Amino acid sequence: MKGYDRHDEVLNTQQLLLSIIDLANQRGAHPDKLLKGTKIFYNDLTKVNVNKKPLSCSANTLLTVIENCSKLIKGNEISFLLGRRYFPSQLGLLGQAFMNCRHLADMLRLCQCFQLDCFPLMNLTIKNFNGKSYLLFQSAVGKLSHNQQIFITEFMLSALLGAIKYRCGELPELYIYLDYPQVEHIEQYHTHLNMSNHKTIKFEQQICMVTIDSQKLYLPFNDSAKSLKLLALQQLRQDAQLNNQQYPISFTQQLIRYINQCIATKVDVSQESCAQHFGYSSATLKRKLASHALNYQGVIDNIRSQQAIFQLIICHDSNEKIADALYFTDVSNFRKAFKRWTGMTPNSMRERLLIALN
Amino acid sequence: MNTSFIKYHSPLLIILCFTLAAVITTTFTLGDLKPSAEFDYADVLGEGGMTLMTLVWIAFILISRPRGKVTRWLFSGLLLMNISMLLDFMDEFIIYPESGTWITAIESMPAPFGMIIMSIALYHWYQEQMTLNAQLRRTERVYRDHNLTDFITGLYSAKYMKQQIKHQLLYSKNSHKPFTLMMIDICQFDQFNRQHGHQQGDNLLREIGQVITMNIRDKDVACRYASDRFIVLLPDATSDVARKFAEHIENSLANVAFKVGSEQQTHYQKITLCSKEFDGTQSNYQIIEQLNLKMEVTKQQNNSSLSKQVA
Repeated sequence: MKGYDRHDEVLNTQQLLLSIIDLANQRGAHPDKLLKGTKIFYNDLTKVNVNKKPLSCSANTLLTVIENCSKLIKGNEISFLLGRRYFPSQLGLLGQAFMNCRHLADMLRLCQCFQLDCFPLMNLTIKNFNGKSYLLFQSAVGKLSHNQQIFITEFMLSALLGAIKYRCGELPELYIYLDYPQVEHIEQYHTHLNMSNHKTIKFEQQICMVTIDSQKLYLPFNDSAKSLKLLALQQLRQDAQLNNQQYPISFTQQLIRYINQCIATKVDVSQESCAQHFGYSSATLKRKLASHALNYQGVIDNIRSQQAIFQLIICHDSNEKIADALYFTDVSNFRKAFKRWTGMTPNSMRERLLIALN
Repeated sequence: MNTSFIKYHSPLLIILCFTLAAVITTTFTLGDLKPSAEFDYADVLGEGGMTLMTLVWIAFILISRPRGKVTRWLFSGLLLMNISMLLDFMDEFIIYPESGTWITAIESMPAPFGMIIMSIALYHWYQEQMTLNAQLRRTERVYRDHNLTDFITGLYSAKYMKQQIKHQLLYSKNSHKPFTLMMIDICQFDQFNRQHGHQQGDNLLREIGQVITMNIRDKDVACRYASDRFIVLLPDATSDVARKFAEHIENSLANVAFKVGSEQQTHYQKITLCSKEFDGTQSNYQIIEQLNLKMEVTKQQNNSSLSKQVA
């Protein structure tokens, strides 16, 4: 099965685009300026087309609008408002399925299965360690600009936390790690995410994730109905078949999955063998990656560095163990690579962690 | 470009087009076109430029101003000046016979009238600006920056407040006078939004912002913090003073019957309010964090006391 590229027009995000534009418009930005560079007009978005499928756009379009929006609007609340209004009304049938999930873990699994429909730009991975669950976020469409990364992360977080708060009644204890430096509009994090303290939200962590007690994920929702959820999912599948949707996840995500598998089974994966696996020539793979502003070594480095950081700050593993898990020949090689990825040695990151804990 | 002005200024635009057309047709019917050898291009450029610029001014006035007395005065003044200049400009291309020379005699007449009207209009504009300033002064303190206003409530944004806190910190440290920050959170705002829509939610925020501004002193400043939270800076005030103000705000809000849209339905909004006194020894960032923590604690206390009452 093929994964979608950044420029493939497969995202069913007409509603999301319209919401961004309407919110920005209410704050004084003109729709044409927001849509600049996307080759779409505001009329195309509002037009109801009875015969044809809803308008699909590419990830590039969405990213361009997000970039324009961050540049045009001061105040930076749009990403948060968008997230808070996202669940469940904007998700259509999927929202109905979400509302009838048994518990949070069930909802997260649905998120991963229908990633294209709920969070087309971000990839959610869940890791468990020591009774805690870690929800890791990574771009699903290649490299993002600073503005885009902040906007999309804020959107994801407020949608996720909004959904948790809506279903659980109150927010359980959460810890947020963000991979960008502290932003100026910290007040939005205080109010929209209810994170009023530097212990619960940490910036500049080189990894982007939310931590929650695993137990909390399995607290049952009493008002869920399994039959309604199944019905909604069945209808979703029928719709997908009718519209010939065949791209469940993005190409970069497929690539990440494949490389992850290779690392787990300790198979060294070269660019050639990877291209072969996907049925491309080496040059095509290179070109495809370049259109996502990526290169092969960068992708591998990113996967390994994220895993190394996770093992280091969460599992408190030794250098030897991490080096072994990531298929390094020796520890000094790992140390050098770690310095190159993060700008600090594994030990200095451990020290920083200790200081932060005290 | 913003084209909505065409709709609400349509009478003035019709008058403008009609006048320009009338002036041009009159000159052409009265006189004849000069041979092109007699054109004085320096004059054409100068007078044409002046005519064009007054037209641009008229356009700017119409784009930037709402309908009203001052706009009409400004428009009429500029239009009269424009007529004079247009007549002067047409002179360069048209030669008048004996019977039409009266037009050159009166061509400069509209300009002085226009200028007098413009002067009156500018005086009124000044008065209008003074009124607006007086209204704005309720929301700001010492410094004005329109880039920092919050679009929804019309109050200043959190960024402005952070600047103000920075100044206040310096001042408090030197003068050893405490200041107090108050934070106001709207209860169940999510639920209100879900029930009545986000447009109504925005309206509610604006009204509450106004109620808060009405209940504070001139030297205080209220800003929108983020989402459903407001923040008020009370310089030279202890937490006792703040407590009194808080009571005032709570009392007035309890009596505000917010009408949801055009319906008769009324909504009484509850708020959570907390304040904290600072002496200027903390940093900007610590202050905001402490205030937010206090807000969380106050919210929890309110919730537990509510559930006790129910039980």
